Amino acid sequence: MALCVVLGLPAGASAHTSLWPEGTIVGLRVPPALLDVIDPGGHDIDPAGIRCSTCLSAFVNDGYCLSSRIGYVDGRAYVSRLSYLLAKDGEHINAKSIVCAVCRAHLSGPGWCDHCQRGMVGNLAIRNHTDFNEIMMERERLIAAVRLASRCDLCALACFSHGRCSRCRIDYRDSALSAAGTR
Amino acid sequence: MSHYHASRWIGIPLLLCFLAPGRPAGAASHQWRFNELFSNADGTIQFIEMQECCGFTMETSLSSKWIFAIHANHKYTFRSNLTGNTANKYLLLATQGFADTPGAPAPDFIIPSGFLPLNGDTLEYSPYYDTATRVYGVLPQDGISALEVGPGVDGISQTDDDVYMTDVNSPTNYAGESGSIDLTVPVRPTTWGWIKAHAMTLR
Repeated sequence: MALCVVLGLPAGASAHTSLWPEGTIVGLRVPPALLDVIDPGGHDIDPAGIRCSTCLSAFVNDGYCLSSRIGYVDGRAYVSRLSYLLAKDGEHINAKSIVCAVCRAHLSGPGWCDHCQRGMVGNLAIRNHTDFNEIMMERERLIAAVRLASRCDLCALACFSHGRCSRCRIDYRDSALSAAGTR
Repeated sequence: MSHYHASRWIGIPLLLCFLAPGRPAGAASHQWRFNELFSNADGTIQFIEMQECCGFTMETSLSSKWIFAIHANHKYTFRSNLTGNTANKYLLLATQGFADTPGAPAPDFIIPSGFLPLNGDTLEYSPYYDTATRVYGVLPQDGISALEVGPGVDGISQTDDDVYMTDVNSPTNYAGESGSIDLTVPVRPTTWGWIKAHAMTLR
């Protein structure tokens, strides 16, 4: 639930054509469809319906199944690596309670504080350095996707989900990330 | 945060986002996968069976999502959402010709005749869910066999454990009604003309 506080709803959301309002995640403002793909809220799941043994193990251990690309935290399922990591590691921080100058600076731009041994992204603190680095990599991909969204919404979605845009017929596997980011 | 942003972003938690009208709390639609494809020789009787792959209970938010046959450029957009627990459930999209065929379970959604290209294509489900994208080859057109294209236990299409085989068709709809059609047996039209003619031969 820590992730809930990262997202905001624009005041004019009622006029938006999508049912899914634009929001912010990891300090980035993202369009509705991208938010749907990031899937920050997680899902209720029926454990009896899980057929993948790795998923079952992940469900029990709050792990991530690479084969099925689903992560599990507290019995909920997350279909993007980013939402899984944020749900697992994200700890909501009250900005007013931060006394460390480095961490306070990270409220406006993400970064790791060696003194406090935590990373800050948006208003979440991440204690696991490895996970923090991975969240930063996912954030870079998200930045590239948001940039693409102004040109083609499907490209943006494909870019974030390592997929392919059927409209522009562009493949956004890992090698395409840098190209997408510089477009 | 600038004054502009402070006034524009009111910081309502995600929980409230999920309570937005038209989208029940937690409802989504990421986990539907192509499972079985069927066509007769002229494409008038076709079905696409999809299945929720992974035990997700609220994959109900289908409205405005779509399936797309890339090369044929055939697109079908879902017009309504589902209700109830979706875990491991099936969805049946079929032509009207299929719906009218004896033995066919009622389709959940009607797709146009010829939606599925007979010689293969790449099927996408709301293109950004690339885990559902499925390539298939020539469809069996013998009137009874279907192409099984399920994603296997990992729930991801186009991976090594995918199912890819022909078998007797076994379409199942969202309500769980299953059936099978057999187009190899000619169905006699029960028109008044046929009944009269049949009655004459019986005399």
